[in-house]
Amino acid sequence: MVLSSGEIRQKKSQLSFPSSEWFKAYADELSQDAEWRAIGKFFSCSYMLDVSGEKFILTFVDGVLVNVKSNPLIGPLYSKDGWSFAIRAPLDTWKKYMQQKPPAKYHHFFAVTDAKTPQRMVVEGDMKIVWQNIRALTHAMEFMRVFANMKEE
Amino acid sequence: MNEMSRIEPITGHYIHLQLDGSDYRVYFEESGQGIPVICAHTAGSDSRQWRHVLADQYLQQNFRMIAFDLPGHGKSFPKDGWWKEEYVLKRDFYVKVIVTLARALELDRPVFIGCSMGGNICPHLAIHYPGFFRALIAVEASDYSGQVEGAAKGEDYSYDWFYHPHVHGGDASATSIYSLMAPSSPEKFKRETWWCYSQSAPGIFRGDLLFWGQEHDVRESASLIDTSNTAFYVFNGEYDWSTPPEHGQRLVARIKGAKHIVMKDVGHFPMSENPEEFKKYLHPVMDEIREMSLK
Repeated sequence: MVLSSGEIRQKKSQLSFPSSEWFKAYADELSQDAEWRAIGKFFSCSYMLDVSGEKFILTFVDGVLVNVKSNPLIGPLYSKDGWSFAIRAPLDTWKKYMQQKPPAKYHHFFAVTDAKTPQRMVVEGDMKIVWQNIRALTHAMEFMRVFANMKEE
Repeated sequence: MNEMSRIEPITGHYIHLQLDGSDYRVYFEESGQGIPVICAHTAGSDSRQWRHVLADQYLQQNFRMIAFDLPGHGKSFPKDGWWKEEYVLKRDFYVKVIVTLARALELDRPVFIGCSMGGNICPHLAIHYPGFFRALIAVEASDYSGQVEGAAKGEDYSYDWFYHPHVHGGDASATSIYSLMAPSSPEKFKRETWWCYSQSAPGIFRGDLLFWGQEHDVRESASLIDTSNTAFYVFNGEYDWSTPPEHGQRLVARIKGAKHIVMKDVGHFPMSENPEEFKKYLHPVMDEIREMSLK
């Protein structure tokens, strides 16, 4: 059976989250996103996403996801083969954040990381690298919601 | 002019104001006729945020709306010698600009509407110039924003990143404020709000935030506000995580006679992110102010 591109897209978004397969499929879609193509080409960094203790290191080079490492042995902060910063939250928070129409305080990367947000997302590590890449990083984070809600076209 | 082209009924002017011994060339734009309304922009932005309100035909019938650029914002230059000082917006200067502009334009008991830091200045205007304004409309305002530099987001966040030499301040400011808007607001207008932020001069957003988040604190003084001759309204958008409705409610609770309006499905920039939704809440308040003025 040959699947249409819409069916493939829907199947991808139904992969279980979090998993390496989910992040790879998400990055495939991100690479085809018009805004990412406009702003992502200088985005080169490694960062950790922590979902209720399950950890994934995403490494982007020139806007392309070149590696996903799941549940790595954690080295010291900022090590060359580690990550520059980590974004951590309980699974429930990630789920709220990725809803098609998220509730207030969970609707954006900056909102969900605010100190006033219950069970907020926490960013830690080298904040300078976060801020230097803020526009592309934010778009990559927001695209998780887009990917999670992709429908068959 | 062909059929598709059109000129908006908004005109711009420059006025020279004398403030603290310096000459300031201040830009403002206006539309409409009637009760004067001064419109103040948010931190790190400019008067373009009010373009949809100024272009509103309903309001133009009874109100002369004036949106100004604070010195150092939009088309208003900072004072001579600005490069020798770190920019920090101070409450007393901010109040002085507004009152001096109103007097220079000979406005008769104007209405003042401001958003974010423009909302936070409202209680100070009421306290220091009682009766000068017929109404104050504090949009996305609080009694105290409680976001002290370096601790605004726990360990994650400092206003200094917006002025750090290794960080693109325009990108960082605009990207951060985009998050304050509601998911359902039109993308075109959210990006327009982003655009204006990306154009502010280095350090301006940070310096404004130091007023918004630090110097502004009316937890003790807001009870001094007399609403018998100045109506006081506070608007807060559901999706504004920096100044959520509960912050506005705290301010209203301290001012006898103040009214609180909570807006569904909008965030921190109602007038620029979702003007049609904002006007649903604004029109009844402006009607009420007009009726009060007729008495």
